[in-house]
Amino acid sequence: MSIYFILAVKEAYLNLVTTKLKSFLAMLGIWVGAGSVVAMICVGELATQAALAQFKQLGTDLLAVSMYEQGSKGSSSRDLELTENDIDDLAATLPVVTQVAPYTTVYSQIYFNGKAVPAVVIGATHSLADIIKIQLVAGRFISFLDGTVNYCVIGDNLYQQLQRGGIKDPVGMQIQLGKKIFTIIGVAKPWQENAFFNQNINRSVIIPLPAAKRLSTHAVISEVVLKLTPEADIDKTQSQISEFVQKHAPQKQIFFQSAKRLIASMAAQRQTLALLLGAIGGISLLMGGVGIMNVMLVSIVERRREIGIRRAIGAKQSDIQFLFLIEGVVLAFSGGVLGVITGIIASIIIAHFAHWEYHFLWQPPIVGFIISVLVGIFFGFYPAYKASRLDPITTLREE
Amino acid sequence: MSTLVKITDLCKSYTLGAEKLHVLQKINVELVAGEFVAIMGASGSGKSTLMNILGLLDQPDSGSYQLAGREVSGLSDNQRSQIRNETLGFVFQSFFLLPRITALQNVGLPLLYRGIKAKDRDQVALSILEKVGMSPYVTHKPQELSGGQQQRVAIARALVGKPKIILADEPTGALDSKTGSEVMALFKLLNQEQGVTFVIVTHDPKVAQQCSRTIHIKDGVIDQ
Repeated sequence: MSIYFILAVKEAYLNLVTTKLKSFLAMLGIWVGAGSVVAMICVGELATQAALAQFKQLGTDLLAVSMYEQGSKGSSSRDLELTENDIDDLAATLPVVTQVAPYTTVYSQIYFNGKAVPAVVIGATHSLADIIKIQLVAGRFISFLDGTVNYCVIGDNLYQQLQRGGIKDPVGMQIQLGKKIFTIIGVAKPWQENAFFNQNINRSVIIPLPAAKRLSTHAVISEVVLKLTPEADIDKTQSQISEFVQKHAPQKQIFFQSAKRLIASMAAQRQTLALLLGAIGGISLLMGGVGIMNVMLVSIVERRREIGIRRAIGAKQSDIQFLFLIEGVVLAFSGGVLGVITGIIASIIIAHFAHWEYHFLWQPPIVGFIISVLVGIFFGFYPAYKASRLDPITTLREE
Repeated sequence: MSTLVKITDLCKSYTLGAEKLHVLQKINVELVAGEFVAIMGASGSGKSTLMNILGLLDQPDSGSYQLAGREVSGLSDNQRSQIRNETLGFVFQSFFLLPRITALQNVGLPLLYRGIKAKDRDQVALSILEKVGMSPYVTHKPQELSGGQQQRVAIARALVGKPKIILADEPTGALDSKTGSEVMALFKLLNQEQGVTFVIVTHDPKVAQQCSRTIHIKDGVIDQ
C-alpha cells in the first residue's frame, strides 16, 4: 500500500496544481477553519501564560481580603472597625500567614507647589512593599516607626509629573494632602498592576496607616493583603478569616481574592473564548468540508473516464477509493497548512496588541493539521466511495 | 494447443423499462492459446457485451466462462480486477490514456496495481515502449502524440503485464488506414513472437481478413 500511497499523494498534488482555482475555493473553508482553531488555541495559551507570568512574579500564595459595610447604616462607630492590632492578632492566630499588609484608601485633594495633582492616598504599613513588590528608586519606604508622622512615598506617575516640573530629586520635599503637609521620603519604581491590590501604586501617595487615620475620619482598614505559606489551605484560611472578622466587626461583608479564584475565573474566560472561536472554527471547517466534498464530486464526474480506465487495467474498488480519499486529504491538508500559518500570524498580531509575550507553541499547528486531515477523510469518504462504485463499462462507453 | 477461453451457454440480458432485452443468448465460444480472432457484428448485435464479459468488466446472467482453465463467472469484483490486471490487456478505439501523466507512466500503470515499485515499473515499461517503437516518446504526454503513437502507447500498456489475451475494441477505428494497418501489423508481430492471443472487435472487413478466424454475431447468437 505504501507505493500506492506515495503515488496517490503525487497524483492528488498534481491534480490540485492543475485545477488551482477550484482547489483554492475548496480549501478556503478549511483555511479559515484551521486558522481560527490554531489562533484560538494560541491566543488562549498566550493569555494564560501572560497572566501566570504575573502570578509568578507575585507568587501564587497571595490572598486579598476586602471588607465593606453591609448596607448603608450611616457612620458606624469606630469600635466596630478592625484596628492594626486586630490584624496583627489575626496574623498571629493563623500560622499559614507569613506576612500581612492592611491598607486603606483616602480620597483627599493633593497639591504640590500649590497645584492639584491627581492621585490617591493609600494608608499602609511597611510590609505592603514586600508583598506587592514595590521597589524604590530613591529614599526609603514607610516604616512602622514612622507612626503618625507625616511621611509619604510617591508613585512613578507622580514622580514623572514632578520631573516635568524640573524636580530631579523630590525626596525631602513637601506635598499637601488635604489640609496636612507631608514630607516625601521615598519614590517608587514603575509598578506593575496586579489583581491583589485595588489601587495603582503609580498613581498613589503612600502614607503610614496611623497617619491616614488622622488625615481622614473615614479611613478604616477595608483591605488586607496576606502572604501565605505555599502549602496553605486557601479555603480553610478564608473561613478562619471570615470567622475572625465576624467576631470583631460583624457588620462587615467580606470578599476574597485568591490566586486560586483568579485562575479559576481565567479558565472560565478562556473557556468562553475557546467556545466562541471553536464554534467559528467548527462552522468554517464544516463548510470547508462540504466545499471539498462538492469539488471532489465534480472532479469525479469529470474523471469518470479515468476511473474506468484504471478499473479496466486492474485497479480494485479499494484502489479507486483510496486514490480519491487521498485527494480529499491532500486538499484539506493544504488548506490546513495555510490555516496554521494564518493562525500563527494572527496570534502573533493579537499578542503584540495585547502586550503579551509571544512564543511559538507546537501543539496548535499539530492540532490544526490533524483536524484538517480528519475533515479531509470525513468529507472525502463519500465522493471516494461513489467513485469506487462507478461501473467501468458505463464510464468507458461515454464519448 | 490448449484451450484458453471456453464459453458455454452464456446468456446476458438487460431490462430496459418493462422490456427485457436478450443481448446474448446461449453463446458458445472457444479460443485456443495463440489465436488471432476477430469478432464482427452490426451495432446492437451483442458483440460489445460479449467483449465486456470476455474482459471481466461485465458478468453473465447464466452459463459458464472458463479462462485459462478457471471458472471466472461469479467471481468477486476484487478477484475480477486481479484477473484483468494479470491475464488480460485492453486496447480501446480512442486509446484511453490518462492525460496528465507521461507515456512511460501510462504504460507502467497496470504494474502499479500489482504493487510493483516505481523504478521497476519504469524499467519494464521502457522495454515495452521500445518494442512498440515508442522509445523516443517516453516522457511525452498523450496529447503531444499522434493518434497512431497514442495507440502504440496503449498497446504497450496492454502488454506490460504479460497478459494471455489482448482484447482490442475497434483498435483501428480512430486511425487512418495507414496507421491502422501499422497497428494491425504490430498486433500480428506480437502474436507471432510472443504468442499473445488477440481478440479484435471490428466492423471493418479488411481488419477481419487479417485474422485467422472471425466470429460473427447477429442478434445475440453466433452466426456460423
